[in-house]
Amino acid sequence: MKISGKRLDMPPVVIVPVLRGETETIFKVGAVLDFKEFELLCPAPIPPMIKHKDAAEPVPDLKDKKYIDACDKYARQRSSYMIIKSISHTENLEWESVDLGKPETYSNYEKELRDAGLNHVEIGRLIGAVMEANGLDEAKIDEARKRFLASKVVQA
Amino acid sequence: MKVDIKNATIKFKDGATPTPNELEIKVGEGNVTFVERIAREYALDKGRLDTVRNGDEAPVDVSLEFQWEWLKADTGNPPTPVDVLYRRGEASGWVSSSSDPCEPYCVDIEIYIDPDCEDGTKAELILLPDFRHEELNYDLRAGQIAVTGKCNVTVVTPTRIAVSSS
Repeated sequence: MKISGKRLDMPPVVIVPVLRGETETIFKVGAVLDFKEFELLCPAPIPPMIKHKDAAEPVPDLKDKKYIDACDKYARQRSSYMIIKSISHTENLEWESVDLGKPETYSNYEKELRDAGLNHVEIGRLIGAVMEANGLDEAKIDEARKRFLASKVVQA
Repeated sequence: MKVDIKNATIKFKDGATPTPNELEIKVGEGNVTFVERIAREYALDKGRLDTVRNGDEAPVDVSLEFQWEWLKADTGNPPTPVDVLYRRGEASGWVSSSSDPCEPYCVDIEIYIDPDCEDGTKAELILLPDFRHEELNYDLRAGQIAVTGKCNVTVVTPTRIAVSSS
């Protein structure tokens, strides 16, 4: 797809410096362009089918507790995958207990960041950068929307 | 605690690994009974009661009689309870729950009872493993099926569980 004859630029890598005295560590946070690897490991949950006694056909039971729990787990793992994959743009970064091939290890990323010496504010800044790199920064999207609408008003 | 069958769901589960096939049945009207029998042999000594020994083991007798409100399965069109017992139709791919492949096909039955008590601690899961039906009765007027059979165990396994873990 092209817009005005051009493809969109690749999303920029967001730089997050972490300062420790004279030393600075640079985290590079990039966008996750596709989730194929994740979807292979963690397919989206499928609701069970329920057939009521007076119904001709079964329907998906979207209120099933096991399905809702599976959706919660899927969303958590997808979000963790995005964070880990985005932060993994950082050069020479090695995860110790997180393995992208093992979804059950994804939740270790926050502990690893803490154990690496990052405090809550720095972890928060990294997560913010992940949102920004993946185009999920709601404030920036809102600003862009307002700029676009303002330009339309000026043209009118 | 009063057990109301309307607060119960029955699950038929097969032996597929790692994820067993399941049919969940919400019971409208009906009843479930099971009988554990322990045979004792009372030995007499010159006509007077002397000692007691255990007799031969007996399987648990199970009787299910119900009208279902709904049927639920993890994938596709839910099989009927009778299809599950005969391993046919939507349940034709079910695997016997018995570890012995030479035994006739059987399923595990789980009865989940949530009496809806305010403290949420009185839910119970009763496992009737390796159930094989021996008789099926159809009552068309009442719209009920009645199943009787046996489980290849001497006692069933009841477990108290947190309500949310159903």
